[in-house]
This record gives sequence, C-alpha cells and structure tokens, in this order.
Amino acid sequence: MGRFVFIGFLFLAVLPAFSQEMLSVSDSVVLDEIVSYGSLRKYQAGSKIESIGSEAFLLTKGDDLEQLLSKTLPIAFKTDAGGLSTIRIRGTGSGHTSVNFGGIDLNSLTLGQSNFSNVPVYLFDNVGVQFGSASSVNGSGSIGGAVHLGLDHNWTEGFRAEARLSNGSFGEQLYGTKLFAGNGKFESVTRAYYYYKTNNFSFLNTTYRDFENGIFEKEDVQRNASLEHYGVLQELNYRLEPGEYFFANVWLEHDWRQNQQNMQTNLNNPDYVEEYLDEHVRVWAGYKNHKNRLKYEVNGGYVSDNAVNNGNSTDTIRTRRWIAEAILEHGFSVNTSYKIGTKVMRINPMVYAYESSLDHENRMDIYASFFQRILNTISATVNLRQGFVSNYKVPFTPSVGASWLALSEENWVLNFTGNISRSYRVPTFNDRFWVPGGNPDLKPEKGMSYELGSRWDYCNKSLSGNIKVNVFQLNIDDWILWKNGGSFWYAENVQNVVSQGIEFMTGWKFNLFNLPFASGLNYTFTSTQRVKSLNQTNSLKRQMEYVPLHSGNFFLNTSWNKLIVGVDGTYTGEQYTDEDDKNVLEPYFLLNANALYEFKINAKNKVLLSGMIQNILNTSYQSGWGYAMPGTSYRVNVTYQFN
Amino acid sequence: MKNKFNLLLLIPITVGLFSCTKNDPVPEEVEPAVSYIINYGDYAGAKSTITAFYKETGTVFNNYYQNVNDVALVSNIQHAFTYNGKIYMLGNNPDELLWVDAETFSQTENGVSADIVKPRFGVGYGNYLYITCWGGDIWADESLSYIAKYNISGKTVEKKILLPGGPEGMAIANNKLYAALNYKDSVAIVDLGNDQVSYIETPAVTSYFVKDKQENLYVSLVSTYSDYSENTGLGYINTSSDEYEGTYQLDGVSTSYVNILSANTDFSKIYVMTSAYDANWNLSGAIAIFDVASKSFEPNNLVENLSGLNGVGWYNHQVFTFIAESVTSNGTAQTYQPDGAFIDEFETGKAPFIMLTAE
Repeated sequence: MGRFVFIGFLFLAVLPAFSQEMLSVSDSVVLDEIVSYGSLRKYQAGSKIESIGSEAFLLTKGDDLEQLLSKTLPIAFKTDAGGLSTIRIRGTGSGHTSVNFGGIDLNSLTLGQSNFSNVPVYLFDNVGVQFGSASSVNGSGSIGGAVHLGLDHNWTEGFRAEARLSNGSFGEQLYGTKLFAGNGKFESVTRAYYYYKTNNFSFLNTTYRDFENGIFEKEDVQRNASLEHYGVLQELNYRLEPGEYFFANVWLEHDWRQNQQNMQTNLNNPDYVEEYLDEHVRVWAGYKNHKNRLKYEVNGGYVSDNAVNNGNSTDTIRTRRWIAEAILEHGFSVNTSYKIGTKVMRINPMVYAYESSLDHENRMDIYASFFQRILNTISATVNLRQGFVSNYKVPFTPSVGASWLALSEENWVLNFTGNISRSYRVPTFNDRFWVPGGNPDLKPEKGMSYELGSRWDYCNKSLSGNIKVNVFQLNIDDWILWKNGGSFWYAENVQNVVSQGIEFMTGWKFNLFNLPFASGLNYTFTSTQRVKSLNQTNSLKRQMEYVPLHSGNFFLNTSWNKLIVGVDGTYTGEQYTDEDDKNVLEPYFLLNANALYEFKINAKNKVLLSGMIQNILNTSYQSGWGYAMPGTSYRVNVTYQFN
Repeated sequence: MKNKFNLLLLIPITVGLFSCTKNDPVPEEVEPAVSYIINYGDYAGAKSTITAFYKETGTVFNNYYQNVNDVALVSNIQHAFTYNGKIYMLGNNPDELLWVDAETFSQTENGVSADIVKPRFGVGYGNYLYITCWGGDIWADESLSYIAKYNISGKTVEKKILLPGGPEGMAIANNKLYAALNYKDSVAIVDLGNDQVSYIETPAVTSYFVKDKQENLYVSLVSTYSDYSENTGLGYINTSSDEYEGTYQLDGVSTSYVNILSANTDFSKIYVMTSAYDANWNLSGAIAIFDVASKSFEPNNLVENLSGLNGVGWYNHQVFTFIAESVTSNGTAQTYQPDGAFIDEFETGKAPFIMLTAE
C-alpha cells in the first residue's frame, strides 16, 4: 500500500511537467482566497497562511471542517466516525490551535479545544489556516496554529437564494439554505442547515471473542453513534460607503451526538448509549472604517457555550463571554504601516465542578503590529502582544517575520520567508478550577516557533502553479497533563515537547486533452518528540502519540462543459496511540472521488447535481484506538440556486 | 519465543506437582509461586493487560493474558478475584464478566455481559458470584446500583439485588454479604439466605474491606467530592453482632478503587493507601500502616511521596506498591520490606492497581 501511495504522489507531482507541452491556452493563475476576517497576511510576513481554494470548497460544502482540512492541507486529526475530531497542527495538541470566527475563538474555555466535526463548512465562504505559532496576533491558544472561518461580503443587490439537499450512506441527510437580500448598501444573508446521520456503518470488529469456537473477529454494525447538527448564521451588513460599514453576525449552533462507543462496547453492550449536546450562541458585530490611511474598527461579541453530558442538565457546563475590541491602523505609505489594538473579555464560567466563589475572569490584550516594505522586495513585520488575565500572569508574545522576493523572472518568482514567534496558552478553566484536581497556579504553556519557507510561483499561458517548502521547529514547554494523584487526577505542567519538520505543498492548474485541470499535493514530515517529562515514561525522544511522522494528501480536479470531476486522497502514516510502543495505528490511505454537474435552467435559475464517493478502496482503518471507521460511502447533493 | 514462554508457564505447575508427598504434614497456607498484577489500561485506548510475577526468580512477564490466549483483553478490568479454581475478572467498557483457569490463565469459555452494568467488585459464595454494579451513571442517580447474583453453573445473572448508594467493595463473613457503599454513609448487609438488605451506619462513605482471622471486617472510610467527611480512616465491624465498633482515624485515605487496603499474611498489619497535596501542589501518595494488635496507625508511613501511587498489595512477604502517573505509559511496581526498606522496581503494563494471588 505504501508503495502505491508513493507512486501515486509521484505521478501527481510530475504530471504537470509532462503535460506542459500538450496544454491548450489557459489564462488562469492560482490566486489565494482572502479570509475576510482580519488582514492576516500583511502583518505576519514569513508566516505560512493557507486558504482553501474555491474548487475544493465547492466540492466539499457538505463536509465538516475536519473533512475539508484533512483533504486539502497537510494537517493531522484524531477523529472517530464523525462525532468528535480534534486537530494536531505540526504535532501540537488539540488545544493548541485556535479556531476563529471574527474575534471569537471557538475553542471551549472548559476543555480548551474545538470539535471540528461540529463546524459545518456549509455556513462559510472561505477558510484560512495559519501554521505555526500565532499568539502574537490571536492571543492565547495559538501555539500550533490558527484556523479562520471567513464570510465574504457580497453587498447583494436584489435577492439570491440557494437550497441544498444531500443524502448519503448510513442515513446521512443535509438540508441547507442561503438567502441573500439587499440593495447594495444594506445586506441580509441567512444561512441555515440541518444535518443528521444515523452512522450505522458496517465494519469488521476485531474485538469479538468467541473462545468456545475460536473465532476472534466478526462483521458488525456501528450502533448508537447518531449525529444531529443544525444551525443558523445570520449576517446583517450596512455599507455607508466603500470601505465603511457596519456588520453583525449571529451564529446559533446545536450539535448533538451519541458518543461513538469503541468496538468492544458496541459489540458487547449494544444498547449502551451516551449522548453529548453542545449549544452555542456566537455574536460578532462591529463598525469598520477602512476608507482612509487611518483605518479603524470597533467590534464586540458575545458567546454562550453550553454542554449537556448524557442528558444531565443539572450538572451545568456553561461559559459566557463578552468581548470588545478596538483596532487602529495607520498607513504612512504603501510601504509602511502600523496597527494597534486592544481586546477585552469578561468570562463567566458556570460549571458544576468549579468552586462556587469563581464568578468571573477578566482578560485584556494589547497589541501592536508594524509593517515595512523595503526596496519592493522585502516585507518585514513585527508583532507585539501582552495579555492580562485576572489573578494570572501570561507571557509577552512578540513575533518577527520577513519575506523576500529573491528572484523575479518573466514566468516565475521565487520568495523566501522566515518567522520567529513566541506563543502561549492560558490553562483551561478545567485545568485551573476543576474540583478536585484543578490547579490555579499552573504555568501557561509556552511555545517558541521558528520557520523558514520558500515559494516558487510559475505562470505561462498554459500552466500555472507553485511549489512551497517550509521547515519549522516548535518548542512547547510546560505542556499540561492530568496526573494520577491516587485519590483523583490533577493538572500539572508535565512535559516539554519539540516538534520539527518539513511541509511540502504544490498546486497546479494546467490543460490536458483540452481539459483544464487543478491539482494539489501536500506532504508533511513531522517529528514531534517528548524531550522532558515529570512523568516516568519510556517514550522520551520518541514520536508523540497521534502525530504521524509522514502524512499527505492530493487532489486532482477537471471540468468539461458543466461537469467537474475530481479525486482526492489522504495518506496517514503509522501513529503511536500511547507511550507503549506496541499500541500503534497502522498507516492508511483513503481515496475519494467527486463530481458536480451544473444544469442551467435559465438566466436566473440553475441546479447543481453533485456526488461524492468516500473511501473508494474500502480501507479498514482507525484514527483513534479501538474506534471503527466507515468503509466506502456515498453522498449525493442537489443544489438549487436562484440568481 | 512463544515456545520458551510456554515452557516457563509449566514451571509453577511442575513445582506444584513435585513439591509434596503423602507423608508430609499438612502444610500451612502456602502462597502460590506466581501472583498476577492487573493493569487497568487506558479507558479510551489500549485496554487492560496482566503482569505475572514469579516470586522465586523475581521474573516478570507483561502481557501475560495475551501471551497465553493469543488475543488481548478488550475491556478495562475493574476487579479480579479468584474462586473455585478460576480467576474471575470484571471488565468495564465493555461491561463483562470473564474468567480464566487459575493455573494456566487460559480462557476457554465466553464471558457474560447480560445484566452486568458498570461492574465494580465481585466475590464468590456457593454456586454464585455476587457482583456490585453501578447500573449506570451512579453520580447522577444513586438508585441505579445493584448487586448482580450470578449463577455460576447457569452462566446467567439470576437476580438483581437492588442496592442504592453505589455498592463498591464486598466481603463475605459469617454467611452474610457485606457491601461498602460509596454514596451513602453505610455498609449494607445482604442476608444470603433470602437476599434481604439491612444497613450499618458509618461515619463516612465506605469503599473496601479486609477480613481478619475472626471474620470481622475493617472497612475504609473515605471522603469524596459528593460526600465530604472528616471521619476518614478505618472502621471496624463486628460481623457477629453487626455492630460498628469503632473508627481508627487516618487523613487522606485514598478514594481510588479496589486496592487501597492490603493485609499481610498473619494479619498483624493492614497497609492503607493515602494521598495528599505536598507543598508544591503535587498530589503524592503514601502507605500508612495499621497495627492490628494495638488497633492504631503507626506514626510513620511505610513509604511516602510516591507520585502516581495507584494501589498496594501484599505478596511474598513484601509490600507491593503500584505506580501509574498516567494511563498512557506503562506503570511500575515497587516492592518494600515490611520495615519500609526498598527492594526492587519493575515495569508493569499501564495503570497497575491490583495484586491478585490465586487460591
């Protein structure tokens, strides 16, 4: 299998080179999408910031965020069959990547992480990912990276609408709608969806034990792993004039799941059900004035996160946040600008296991960013950020970065980038205040990130694309774990981790047999090792758990008239699941295919028919120890668009 | 490798066959040559493993169950006990009762899951096993718990003896079944003739028992998050009168499960696992010593400042302490002389916690 994957990757990598002479004319170039929330790139020279291309976004609208990112970027996830998935950028932990919706970090304040299965791609227009430490821009939690969920401002004139129906294997259903109404100045955008999946897939259960007949595996069906998500995202935008507008976004989200049981419980206790419900209210609104060189904006938000474990609403697990932010940006010239800002937050935790005296926590960040372009070839940035948390000390987080346009020829350009940044994560509320075991005196987790990158862009009449190579080192100190205390578990700063690696990304558009193709290939080598631990362990200087040393993915799409077809695949290398060397997950390769056809009824009405086959090879694999994953599955979608 | 391992398995059997003759006097109770350490494993990952410890050679075999049976355990063993030539194990996630031959550790029959929900502890009596079960989320509904009365020959749970309050450890004494209640300041007594339940009030919630030579019981008194108490330590129950006769105070008795108490062979000492925060806010464990003759705790612990202390056991005239700072890495067993002198340390599976010595 490994050889097959390697040959496949090699084929896709060299395909553009061979195809160059045969291509017909193509005037398209690869353009990155712009994440609408914040000028991510300008003030973070040298940082690796990737956004998902529009084709990939179009074909994966029915996916959740984990499915989208794992297919398109070199990012590892630990996941079960759709109920819970957590991110591991560059070998970091699940709580080391912030997920940002405007100025709101979606990460739970109690658990410190986001469930990427609970973020529907359907509600958003674009997604951007910053690799590496980003605390100097995003604050606490962005040690491994940051994910940004973006919405485009369309300034709709008139009315547009979309309705989507999806049906797939294992009882999967998605119903969605998007309604755009406006007069060019005022705009209302409503996005709503409902998703349900019975998730009753078949698999080979290797935990079956029939000692009397000597049989130790059995065909089984996953039970009690249903999912139900629904949500509404309402935008109200009012443009006073170009560059000056008010906006308000309200996102209500309801995510219910039956916790997937491991294979042995599924088999032996088939009626066993555990439920988990997440309910979120997220409001982000503001005023932006970007008309002049002196730009400013004022934003505010409110977040309510409520969780109900197994129907027990008596044991409250709820936090509320009120956020205010002000940003001032001044461009002296096109070559020089700075930005300063402040963000304040009041957090009201209401968790049954916290001391009742814990009423609230205040947080404030002040930050400054400086941008300088030199000789039109070098961009340099400096970011400084200091956070303040009531009764808690957090570190100063600076970052410096630069990008250098080293060579520029008629058909290609070569850039080099570099970035050094410091990052941190305030321990979660559970880490500090859970009774028993929480420790208010925990130190923040601290990260130090070093990165060098190069990017080669090529464009001629028939071929365009780029090759990007980044090398990184990320040191994380005071990583918090919960330790066995004999009577109960308690949080402690336990280990230091060093993660270093190489990321290779390439994407090309080309014509072949008179057909336009878009392709992408990503590979990442991530060596993440525990270098120091207070715990007794045999796995010092060994690859960390659930971080594959090798992983990668590819996609290849083409279109013919109104038909788009594509294949994509992901390879995940062997993973340790704990500190015992024998408990490893085998490597696996997943191949998917998709197609989309556009029926144009008339100038105003069209229907998109699309379909997807996932895990075509019916690969049997696990992403979390003991949890079954589905084999081959399908999904068909019908999307009606008006205007 | 496998063949060598099988040969080693024959050692204790061979020793047993040739070590006595008809003319020898009836021997006193002799410890078996091998004892087993139950490693709980990771609830969300790889499950329990068994470590075999041979006292004569000090040899340790990890993954013993898997080596004997060719397949791994698929549940987290919450409790294991020996009865009538078998070792019974109660698994969580999935919930099940399984058993192996006490001599060979070979499993030849299928386990049982029906009517065993979140099992905690088991004892054997006659043709029955009595298994305490939480029955569900006991922390949310204390009425869910029960004792499953399992018919050994019928291989079914014959009856559920409803017992609210989270029954945990059990002991059989004077033909009665005593169950410690982890959510109620009491010990329950089940009449084994008619399964009727009565209670003895205790000054704190209780967790486990050790039985003395007179069939009276010492019970651990613990303070839990849901039922705080300052009256922690050991309680003493006279099983003839079913009177609670006294409390022997000890701070910080561990609220951990199963192996927090262990008595030595002649029942002169009871070793009690405790835990407390140190000056650096680290929770560390200690082994306190209860002197049965004087009915008091000795002023000095046998050993203390053990990070990740997960259980205590007695075997081969040594105190075994089990260390598991996490459930993601293998733990260790540390052995001590009765005077506290350190003897040895060896690696176990993940989260070792029970020392099981077969009958």
